[in-house]
Amino acid sequence: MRPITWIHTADLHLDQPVTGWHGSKEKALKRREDYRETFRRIISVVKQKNASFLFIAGDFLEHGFVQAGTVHLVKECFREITDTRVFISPGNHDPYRLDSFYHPREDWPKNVYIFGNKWESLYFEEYNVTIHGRGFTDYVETEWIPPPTSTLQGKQIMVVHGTLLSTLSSSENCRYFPIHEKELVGYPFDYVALGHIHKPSLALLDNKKKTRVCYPGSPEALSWKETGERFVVYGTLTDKGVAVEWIPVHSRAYERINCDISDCESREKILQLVKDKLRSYDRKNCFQIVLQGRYPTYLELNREIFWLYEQIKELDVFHFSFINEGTPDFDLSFYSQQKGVVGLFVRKMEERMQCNPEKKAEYELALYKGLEALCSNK
Amino acid sequence: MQINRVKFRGFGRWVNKEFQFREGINVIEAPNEAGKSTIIQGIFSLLYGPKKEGVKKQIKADWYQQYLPWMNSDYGGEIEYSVQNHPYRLVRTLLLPHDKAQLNDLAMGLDISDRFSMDAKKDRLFLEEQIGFSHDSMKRIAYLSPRFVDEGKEEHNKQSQVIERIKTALYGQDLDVQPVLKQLEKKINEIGHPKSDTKKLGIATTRCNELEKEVHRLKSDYVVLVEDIQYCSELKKKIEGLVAEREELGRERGRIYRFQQNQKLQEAHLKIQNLRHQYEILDQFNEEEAYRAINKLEEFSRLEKRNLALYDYEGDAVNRHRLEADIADIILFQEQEKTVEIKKREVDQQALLYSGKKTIFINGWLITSLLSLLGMVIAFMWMPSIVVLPALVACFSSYNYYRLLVSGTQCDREVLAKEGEQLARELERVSVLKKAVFDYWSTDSLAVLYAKLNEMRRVQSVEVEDPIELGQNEQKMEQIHQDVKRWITTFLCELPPFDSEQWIREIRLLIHQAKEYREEMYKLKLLKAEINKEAITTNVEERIQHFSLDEIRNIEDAYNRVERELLEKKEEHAKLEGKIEKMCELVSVLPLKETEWEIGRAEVAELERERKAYELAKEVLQEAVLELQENIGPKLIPVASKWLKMVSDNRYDTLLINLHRGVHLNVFVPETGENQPICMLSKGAVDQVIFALRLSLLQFYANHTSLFLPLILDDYFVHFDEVRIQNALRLLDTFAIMGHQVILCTCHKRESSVLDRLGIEYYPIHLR
Repeated sequence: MRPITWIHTADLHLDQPVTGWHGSKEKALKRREDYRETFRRIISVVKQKNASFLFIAGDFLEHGFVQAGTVHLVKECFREITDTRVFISPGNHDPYRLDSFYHPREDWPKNVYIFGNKWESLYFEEYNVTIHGRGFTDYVETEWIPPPTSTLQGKQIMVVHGTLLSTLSSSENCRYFPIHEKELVGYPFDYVALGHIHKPSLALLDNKKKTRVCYPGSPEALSWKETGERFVVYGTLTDKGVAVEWIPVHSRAYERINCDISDCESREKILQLVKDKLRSYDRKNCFQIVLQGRYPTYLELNREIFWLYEQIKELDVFHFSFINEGTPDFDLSFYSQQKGVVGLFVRKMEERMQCNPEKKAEYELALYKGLEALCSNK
Repeated sequence: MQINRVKFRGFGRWVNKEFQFREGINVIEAPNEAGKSTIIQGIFSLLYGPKKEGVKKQIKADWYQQYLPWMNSDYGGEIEYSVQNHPYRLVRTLLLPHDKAQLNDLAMGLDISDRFSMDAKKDRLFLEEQIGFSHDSMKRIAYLSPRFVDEGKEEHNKQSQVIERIKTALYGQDLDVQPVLKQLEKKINEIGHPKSDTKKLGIATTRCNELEKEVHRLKSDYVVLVEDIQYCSELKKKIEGLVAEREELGRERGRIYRFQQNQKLQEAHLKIQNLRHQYEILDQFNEEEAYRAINKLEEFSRLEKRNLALYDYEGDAVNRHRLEADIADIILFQEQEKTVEIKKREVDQQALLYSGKKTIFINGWLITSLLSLLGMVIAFMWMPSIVVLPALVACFSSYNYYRLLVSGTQCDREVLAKEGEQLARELERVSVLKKAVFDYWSTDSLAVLYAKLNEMRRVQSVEVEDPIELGQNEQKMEQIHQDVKRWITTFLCELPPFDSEQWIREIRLLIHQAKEYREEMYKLKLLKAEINKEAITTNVEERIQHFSLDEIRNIEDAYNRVERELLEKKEEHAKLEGKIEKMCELVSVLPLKETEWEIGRAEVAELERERKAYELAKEVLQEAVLELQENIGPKLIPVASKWLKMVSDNRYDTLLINLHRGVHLNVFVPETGENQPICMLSKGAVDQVIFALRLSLLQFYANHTSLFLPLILDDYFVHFDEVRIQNALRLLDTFAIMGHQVILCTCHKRESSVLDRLGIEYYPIHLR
């Protein structure tokens, strides 16, 4: 029996518009190219590992945005790995619709199999393994549909796009194919290749097979929540069970750098602090520099950020942006106790915040803007 | 509240220096740079500490650096004061970051520091909780100095500064927030409205809207592109199908072609056979022999010419021969003519005879039958028994009449007519031939021809020069004639009368025909070879039977249709591919534009958020100001008016305040009987108004809180004239009697002299 090896990835979202971007158009274009580069890297990993299977668990080609050129590239890449069987389980971002590039299936290379909305099971004798899968055919799928039990031959692998729900979670508000852990426990799956959640995770089910349920996460960061290295999963299935290796494939990492500027009395000091923090990172990455803490009221930070931006630009960092989460160093409790108009202004603002907690941020900003104006006119 | 004692361990120039204060008026009289202002700042510093207020971080107050002790590092001191007659001592170390403060209740002899809450900087809020005023607020209410007005500023700013001073004096705090509101308004204007094209928000919104439109356009293009790509894929499949169909039809056409070739082959076979059959003889035709025959005939002609030349009269030999032949022919024609004429005459006579007889017989039989009929009638009338006899005669004669008239003569008549016609034609032919011969010799008599012949013979027999050559030639010619005749009769069925030229033409015609025949044969053989080369199989032979003309037409039509459709589809596919390529290029910017749009939306949202924050701040600030004005203003005005009347020696008795348009102060001027804005008054008058307002504010506060705050005047009366200073000091006395402590700092002796002169009690403090 040949050993079963696979590369498991998902949520590449090829050609999805770059989000949360504050850089130049040119850099945004380069960033778009990064995702293709990451895909090429995944194919290289497949070749390098000589994997029997490549599982792509959905959200692969961003529906409504993916370009014909990208689809062509993807097909060409798949043609380079004819010895590897590729399984694509379309997700909510790339449903297998009539207006999708997945359609018609026949246009795809012969080693590529795209699952439809019904469970399909394919048995491979040379590996003695059955691959089960299904895909989205629309943007939303609220119902859990159990996989078939009649075709359980050999070892079992499931590829699907959906939301894994723990035993206690309810699927009531789940719009993306809820998969209950308790349901999965009953199946003799060796490995469940999932997609949808961008954060990598590996769960072990409490069943006889000790099923591994894995989200590889997005192989290239799509938002500033997806910081650090991004991976694909290299899996092997032997008689001893499943072994999983996480292989980093990202082209650029997103990094969020928190800078506490409470002790910075001037913009120069803030700049120095940011530079010191950046020193430990690879400059080819993308950075979100978050300024936190209380800054002197005389520093107009929003204006100073432009200056900081120009200074950091000289460091040849691929992409960075500043987020001002700091607050001017007003002692609100002091002002609220004042008898004059400042005190009354602060009290009124605090009163409104209490009455409208959902608008707290709005009132807080207004409060600081008002105080800044009041104090600068003292 | 009253300041009782201040001791500086180190504050500016004052090191280990103690000052005592009493209730009522305290006068610090000293020249400039003596340290009066340092004492005043020291009082506030010891009361409130060394840090900047209003911020959470520990930041040095603005004055901190200026008053660091000159001689030692023990920055700080202690201050004793009483609040509502309860004495306290506040001990402070001002040196940051090791500043400390301790408040002792002197009556109880206890450290009561923990009873006071701490601010964000971990400082105890002693005075804030005891009197309700922060450092800045306390200074704004209890401290008066002419340094409010910055002498270095422009003249036009002074008036507004005066008003600011008065407003501050009136409310003791920042109640007039017009500049703040203006600043907020400015910020709102800077951001602008979404529809203002020149402002930040408007520009961002316009850009965002443009991007939105572009993204939507690109998205619809994208939908079309995907449809086109899918249609292109379908088209490709269709083309593949058509290509397959065309190939199949092509194969059919190939079969048809072979079938047609086969047909051609068969036709060629047939043609070859026909040609062979038709020109079989030409197979043996040898061109060389033909040319040899032509040569011979040419030799014949040459010999003939030679022979003719042997005669004096060129052409006589020929003519003689011809004449002889023609005479023979004429004789023959005449004989034939005679014979034919005789025959014709006989036939004509027979026909005539036959015709005369026939008429007589016909008429005889007709008359006989008529008479018989008449006899039959008569017999019937007279003798019916013999009626049968005439009836029989009538029948017999009628029958004969009919036979002669209709059928009986038909055959003989036709034979005679045909024979007559034949003979007439023959006669005509003979006479034509005869006429031709006569025409040739230009005569119409045989006798003339004989005469000509005799003459020729006579001449020839006399004039032949070399009868041997002539004979030899004639022999040769005869030989040639015989040889050629032998050869040519193989190929010509009807040989024309011998004429060398004619025969040469005939031979050339034969050569030409043979050539054509060979060429045609060659072509047919080539065709055969070509068709054979294409390897017509027995299958084709089998298929041949399946292709009817209809089938061929149908297949050909289908092939043409498929070919046409294929061409159309290919053209459509090529066009579509071109369109797709262009569209791909256009649509490739969609994700980028979406990103740009997102950035644009975020920018608009941020600007809107900022604008909203400024609007909200403005709204709440206006609300706060209005509330304060409505609460304090009306109550304060009567008190302020009273003090103004006193300080102006009953000149101004009414202070008018317009709260709704910010703080606008007017006074009623008795000389003009009009309300004048305060800024229109003289500088001294303005100082009077400010002084009155400040006193009223402290009194107002005391009335409402029972807390009598001290009033600290730092060279305040410097612009006051003698009369006004007297009035002011009288007021200060009244104010002190009410329970307020007054600390008057001056660099002049004027204040103490006036106080002395007016008999007002005061406590002098000496700085030495």
